[in-house]
Amino acid sequence: MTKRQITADFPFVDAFDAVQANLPGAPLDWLQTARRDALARFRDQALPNRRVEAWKYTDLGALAKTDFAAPEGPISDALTARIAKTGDPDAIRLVIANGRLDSTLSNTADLPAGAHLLPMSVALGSHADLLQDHVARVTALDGDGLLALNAAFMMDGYVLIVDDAATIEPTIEVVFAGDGGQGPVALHPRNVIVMGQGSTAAIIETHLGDGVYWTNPLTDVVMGEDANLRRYKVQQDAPAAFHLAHDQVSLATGAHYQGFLGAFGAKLARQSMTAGINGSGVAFDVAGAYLLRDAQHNDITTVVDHAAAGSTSKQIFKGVLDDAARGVFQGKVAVHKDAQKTDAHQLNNALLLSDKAEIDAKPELEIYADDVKCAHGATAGDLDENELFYLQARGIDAADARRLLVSAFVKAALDEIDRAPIRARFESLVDTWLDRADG
Amino acid sequence: MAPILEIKNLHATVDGKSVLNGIDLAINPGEVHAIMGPNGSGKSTLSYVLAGRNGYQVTEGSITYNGADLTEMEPEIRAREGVFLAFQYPVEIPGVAGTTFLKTAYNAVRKHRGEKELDAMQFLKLVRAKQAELDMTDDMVRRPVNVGFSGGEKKRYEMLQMAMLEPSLAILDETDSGLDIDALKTVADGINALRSPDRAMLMITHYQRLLGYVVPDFVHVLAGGKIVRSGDKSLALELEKEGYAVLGTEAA
Repeated sequence: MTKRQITADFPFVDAFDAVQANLPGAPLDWLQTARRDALARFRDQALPNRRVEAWKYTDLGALAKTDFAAPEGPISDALTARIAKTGDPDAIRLVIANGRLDSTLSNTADLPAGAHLLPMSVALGSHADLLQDHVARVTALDGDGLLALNAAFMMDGYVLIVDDAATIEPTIEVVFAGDGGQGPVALHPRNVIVMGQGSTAAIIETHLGDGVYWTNPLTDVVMGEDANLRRYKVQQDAPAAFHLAHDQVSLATGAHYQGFLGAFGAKLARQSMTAGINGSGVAFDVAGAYLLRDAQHNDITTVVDHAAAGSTSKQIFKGVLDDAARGVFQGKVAVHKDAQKTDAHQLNNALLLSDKAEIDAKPELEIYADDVKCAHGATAGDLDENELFYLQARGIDAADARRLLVSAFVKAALDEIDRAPIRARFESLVDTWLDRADG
Repeated sequence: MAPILEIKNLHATVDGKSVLNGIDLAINPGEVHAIMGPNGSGKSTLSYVLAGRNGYQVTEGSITYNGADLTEMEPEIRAREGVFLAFQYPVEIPGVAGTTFLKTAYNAVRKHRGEKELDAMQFLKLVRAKQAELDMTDDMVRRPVNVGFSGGEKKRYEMLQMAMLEPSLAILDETDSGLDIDALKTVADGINALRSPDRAMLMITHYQRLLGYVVPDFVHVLAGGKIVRSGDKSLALELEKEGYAVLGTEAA
């Protein structure tokens, strides 16, 4: 049998018994059982290697060779100061530092009625039934070793519950910080979003940190009928960090999910997401921009599963790759036999600013219905010489001209964000990335 | 009086193919020169060589611009020094707002000339004044560069940029192509408004049409990468009547 695993010998895994005593919900028997079962699954599955189709372009070899421990102690003052300056200072926010709620940096006092925002450690007590259902759902997922590890070592993340018909206007902030200053640490945040029928909310996550750390977040989103969620994610992890995230989104009739990912950081990053479209009139819209340099690697792997008729999905990703950076886009759209009138659209455009940069794009359509519209496109290219010359011929120097053209390229994804202040935040992140290119 | 542009024995290749084969041309301040010639005679190549486009290689001869060696300058430096090429085919740039483009260009040129950059309000006021003269709307100026413009609108937008950047050498490459008579008049008015004693213009055109509205001081005929005849405006009329064939050149 061909080996489809990378065996990893992580110190935090060996220390499971000691580590789990300090994890959220440690005294809960049902959770302990779930954690132990998940650990057994990880021992069986290990990490996927590149023979596994979904991991064809992303190699976890370097991750497996790193001695990750469980996080201990507080994060550094420098990192704390950076968290305080991240995002909107007046926002409702949760800060999760090294897998644990930081209550002094968090502020949920102004949370409007109808919304409940809690760290996992608290929600396990206050919303036990809901979380038991959630953990059962995660256990049932057909996942890989990374998912099993998150299930075994589940740490603080956010739990957002929005009541039926509630509209939560302000964008909620969550900041995840990883601090590998005392040696490499592995973090397994768990997030749960439960949107009630006809509810509306928006949340922005920022991931940042210092040193060598591995964050392995798992987010479970359950959207009730006609629920509307805007979910933004800023991945600005440290240059030596690993970010391997999975989102599981389930959508009932009429639900609308608008996701946006801005990926700028980490040495190795992967965002996988699976959307289960289980009703008609669903709109699953995700967009994103990944801007990479040096030897950064960013993988976006999506599975959109149209199991019901009359729904739409849209994916628009723009990648900018400099130096020896590598981007991966794997987008799978499955349309079941009964999912007639599905309208699925998928696009990945990559801009290669260097001869050594690389993009691997693999769109995959699996269509069993006959009355559907499915479009996919993937392009890769460098900057247009005609456009560059036109700008230069007007006095704009080559560096500024490239900058204008790269911003313009990314803008097509950013334009998918319908909240102006959030769009402006991503624009400024893109500008910051471009500033570094000039330096 | 020193010429603004002095071209001597200019030879140039495009992708290794020789296209210009010994051009001599001097343009003094205040003069408008027209270069006419059949397709493939090297007209557009000359404009790109002057603007400094990649791949257009000067192999022999010299180009002196206001006393300096033009061939030594990057395209953006030429532009800042006052060389303006109005493109035959202005480039569409999706995602770059026209105002951002124009302001970046304008301030880059001002900065180079040691002038103060304009703030957003001052800049807007200036653009508004210039765009009105060219019958352009706010919407056209704000739109992504050249995106969704008709042929005539693109040419008017070139004229707007020229009016903003106030070049000392304007090269107009087939500015009349693709224009209906109304657009031609608007564009010609724009060019005439910029004629001044300290500015030089080089109009590159296949047809005599534009020259009826912007009357040149000199007309040159380019064929086979060389100037084969020079004269005054009557030469343009003669060519219009007789066609390029009378030149009896290989490229005709």
